[in-house]
Amino acid sequence: MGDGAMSVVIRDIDLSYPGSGSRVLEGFGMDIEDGEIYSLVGGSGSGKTTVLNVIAGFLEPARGRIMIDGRDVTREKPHRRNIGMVFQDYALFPHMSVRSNIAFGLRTRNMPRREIDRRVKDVLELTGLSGYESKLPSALSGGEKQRVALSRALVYEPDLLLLDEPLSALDASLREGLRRELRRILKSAGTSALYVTHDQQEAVSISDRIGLLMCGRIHEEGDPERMYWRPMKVETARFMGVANILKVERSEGGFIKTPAGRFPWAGNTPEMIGFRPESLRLEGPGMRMSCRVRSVEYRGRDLLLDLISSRAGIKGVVSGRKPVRKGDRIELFLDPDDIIVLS
Amino acid sequence: MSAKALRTAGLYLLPMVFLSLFCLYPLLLMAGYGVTDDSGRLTLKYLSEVLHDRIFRDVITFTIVQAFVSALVTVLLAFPGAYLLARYRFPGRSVIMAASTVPFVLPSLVLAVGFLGIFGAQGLLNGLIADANSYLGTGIPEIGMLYTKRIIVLAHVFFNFPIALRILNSRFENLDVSLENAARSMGSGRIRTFLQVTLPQMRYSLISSFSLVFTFCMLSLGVILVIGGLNHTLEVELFSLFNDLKVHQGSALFIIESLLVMLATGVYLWSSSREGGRSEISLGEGVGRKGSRRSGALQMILISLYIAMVVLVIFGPLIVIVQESLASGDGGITLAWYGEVISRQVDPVLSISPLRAIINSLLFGSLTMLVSVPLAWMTAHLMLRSRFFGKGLLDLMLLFPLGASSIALGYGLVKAYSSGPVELAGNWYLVVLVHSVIAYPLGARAIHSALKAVPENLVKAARSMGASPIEAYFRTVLPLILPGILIAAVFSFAISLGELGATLMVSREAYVTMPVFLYRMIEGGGREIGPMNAFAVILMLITFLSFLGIELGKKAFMRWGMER
Repeated sequence: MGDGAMSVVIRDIDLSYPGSGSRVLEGFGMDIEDGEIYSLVGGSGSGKTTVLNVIAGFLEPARGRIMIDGRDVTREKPHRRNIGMVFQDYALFPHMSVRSNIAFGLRTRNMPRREIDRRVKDVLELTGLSGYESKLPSALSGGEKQRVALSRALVYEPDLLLLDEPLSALDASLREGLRRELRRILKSAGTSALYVTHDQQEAVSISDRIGLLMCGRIHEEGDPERMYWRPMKVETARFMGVANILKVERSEGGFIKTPAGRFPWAGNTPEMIGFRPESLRLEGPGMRMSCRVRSVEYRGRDLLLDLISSRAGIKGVVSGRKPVRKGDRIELFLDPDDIIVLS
Repeated sequence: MSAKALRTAGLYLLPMVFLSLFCLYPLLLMAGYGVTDDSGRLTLKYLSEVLHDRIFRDVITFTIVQAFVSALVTVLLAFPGAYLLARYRFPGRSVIMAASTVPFVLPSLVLAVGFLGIFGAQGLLNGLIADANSYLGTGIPEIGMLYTKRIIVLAHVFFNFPIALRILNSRFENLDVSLENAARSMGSGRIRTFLQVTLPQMRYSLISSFSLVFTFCMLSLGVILVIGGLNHTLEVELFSLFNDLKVHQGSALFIIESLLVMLATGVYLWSSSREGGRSEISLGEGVGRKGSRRSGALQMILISLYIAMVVLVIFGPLIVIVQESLASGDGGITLAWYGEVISRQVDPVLSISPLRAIINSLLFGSLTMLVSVPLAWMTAHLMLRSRFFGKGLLDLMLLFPLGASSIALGYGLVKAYSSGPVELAGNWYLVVLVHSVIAYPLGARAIHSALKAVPENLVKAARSMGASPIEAYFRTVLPLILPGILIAAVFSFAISLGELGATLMVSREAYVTMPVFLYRMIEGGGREIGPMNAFAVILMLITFLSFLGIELGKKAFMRWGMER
C-alpha cells in the first residue's frame, strides 16, 4: 500500500443474489487511497458492477464492512453515502437540461442558489461543456453526454466516484481521446475513483492501480506498469494480454523446457512462464526462437503473427515493415528480461 | 420476507382485491345462475334450453357471423392504410393519424345518433334521394339501411378500424425492410416480394387484429341497441333477458358468450405473442412516424382516395350530428336546441333533467379517474416486475374487464351487492366502481408502456446524487411517466363518459349518465331530433375537450420541465 490516507476500505464482503445460491462476492476486500484512480477489471460476469452496487448501497452484503473516508457506511442508505456514480448508459435525466442534471445533486444537498450556479459553472468549465447549460440530453453527442454524466457526479465533491464502464458506449476513436481527458478531469478534481472496465488498455492508461476481480475477490492488484509487464498470476497475465503462456515441463542444466522450446534459465524452476506478443522481435539481441508462420494478419503499423514454435502455438506482434508470409520459417528474438514468471 | 417483497405484496393485494370483488365475483355469480336452479342445485337445464331454443340459437349465430364479417371488413380496409402510413410520406398523413383516434374515444351512442341522421327515414341520404327524385325526375327508391345487418357491420368497422390500423401499422413499421430489399436484389418483383416476403411476416398481426376486433364486435351493445332493429346480438339479448328478470336464461347465454370471447381472446393472445407481443394496443402513441418513400402519381391517387374515404367515414356522422343539432325546423340555423337541453326541467319520461345527466357524467368521470388512475399506476409497477408469485394470475385478472360482457358485469354487481353485509346497489358509487373496473386495465397498460421506457439507472443515479427513494421517484420516474398517467386519466374519464351497458344495469334514475340519457331519448322514438343531436354534440364535445386537455397539459408540462 502507498502512504496516502485511505479513502475507501472494504473488508470481507459476502454477497449472493437472492434466489440463486451462488456467491457473487466472497470475502471481497479492497482499499482505495485518497485521490487514487483504481480500476477494477475482470471478465463479464465476474461481479465488477456488483462491487459498485454494493459500495453505492444498492445491494446489501450478507457480511462485511465498507468504510468511506473513515465512516462506516455498510448499513447506510445510498443517498446518504456521498458518492458519485457514472453509468455505462449515462442515465442522464432526459427531461432535464444539462444545467438541471448537474444541479440535481446540489439541490438534494440544499445548497443556496448562488452556490449552485457557481459550482455548475466551474464544473462545466472543467469538463469543457461551457455553453451547453440549457441543452437537453437528447441534443448531445455520446461524448458530450459522458461529460455531463461525469460533471453531474463530480459537482458536489463526492468522497468517492464510481464509474461503471463509462466509455464503453462510445466508438473507438472517441474513446481514446476521452480516456486522457477523463484522467485529467479526475486528477484535477482530486476525487478518489473506482473505475470498472473490461478493457485492459483503458485500465492501464487511466488508473493509478489495477485490480483483477475473479471468483468474487481481488485476484491480483498492482500499478498499471507492473500489472502489464510483470503480472504474477496466470489469470492476470491472460487478462492483461500476455498471449503466450507456457507450462514449464522440466528444467535441465541452465534451461527450462516448455512446449514452445527451451529457454535459458537461472534460479528456481517456475511453474509457468509467459511473454507478451510484442516482446518478440525480428532482430536480435535476445534469445533466438525458430518459428513457422501459420498465418499473418496485416494491421498496418504492425503484423500479428500466428506461429508454431516447437510443439506450441504462439502469438507475435512485429513491425510491419518487413515482409513475412504464411508458411515462412523465421527467427524471432526475445529479451530474457521480458519473460514473466507465473504461478 | 424482505422489504421489497413486502412492498410487492402490498402493491399486489390492492388491485387483486379490487378486481376480485368488483369484477371476478360478479361475473362468477352470473355464471353461477346459468348452471343452478332457483333452489341452488346444479343443473344444465338452462344451458340446454338456450341451445335448443330457435331464437337463442339465431342470436348466437348472428352474433358470431356479424362479428366475423365486421372483423374481416375492418382488417381488409385497415391493411392498405397501415401499409401506406408505414411506407409513404405524403400530405395528410397527420390528418389520418388524428382522425383515427376519433372513433377510439367517441361514445358509441353518438355514432348511433349520427347514423340515424344519415341513414334514417328522414335522414340525409333519403333527403338527397328525395331531392334527386323531385328535381331530376329519377325514380330512386328510398334506402332502408337502418335496422339492417349491413349497418351494424358499417358501425363496427367505424369503431374498430383505428385499432386494426394501429396494430397493422406498428407491425409494418417494425418489419425489416432489408428482407424485402434482399428479395428484390435476388430478382424478385414487387408483387412477388410482397406476397412471399412481406405478407408472411404480417400473418400473426393479421390474425391478432382480426381476433381483437372480433372480440369487440362480439361484445358490442350500444349501436346495435339503437340502430340494429330486430337483429339482436348476445349483449342485446342479455340486456332484455335481465330486464325481464329471466336471470337463469340470461346467465346461460352469458356463459356461452364468455366461452366464445375466451376463444377469440385466446387466439388474440397466441397470435400477438407469436409476433413478439408487439400488437398490444398502444394508447396515445401516434400512428406512423416513419414513412420514407416518396409517392408517385398512382400512389398519390390511391392515397388521396384512401384519405378521402377515411375522413368521410369518420367525420361524416359527426358532421351530420352537428348539422342536425343546429338546424331549425325551417332550414335556418339555431342554438335553440342547446338552450332547451340546458334549461329543460325534469323530463317526465326520462325522470331527470338533461343538465343533471351532464353533471352526473362529469362527476362520475372525475371520480372514475380518481379511483382508476392510482390503481392503474400501482398495477403498472407490478406489471414491470419481471416475475413474482401470482403474476400470471394478475395478468389474467386484468383481461377480464376487457373481455367481459358489460351487461353481465353490471347486473352481477347489482346482484352481488344488493343484499348482505355490503349494500352498494342503487348507490352512486357503484357506477363509479364499475366504470373504474372497466377503465383501469387500459390505464395500467398505458402507464406500463411509459414505465417500460424509463431507463433503469435513472433512479440509481438520483439516489447516488443524494436523493431519497421518494425524491428520486418523484423527480425522475414520475415526470417521465406523466404522459402515460395523463393518458390513463383521460381514458378513464372518456370510458366513464361513454360507457353504456354496465351503467344501464347499475344506475338508478337519479344517477343516470349522459349515454343512458341519450339512449332513452333515442328510445323515445327520436321524437325530438334537435335536442337529441344537441345532447349528442355536448357528449362528443366533452369527450374531445378532455383529450385536448391532456395534449395541452403535456405541452405545458414539457415546457415546465425544460425550464427547471
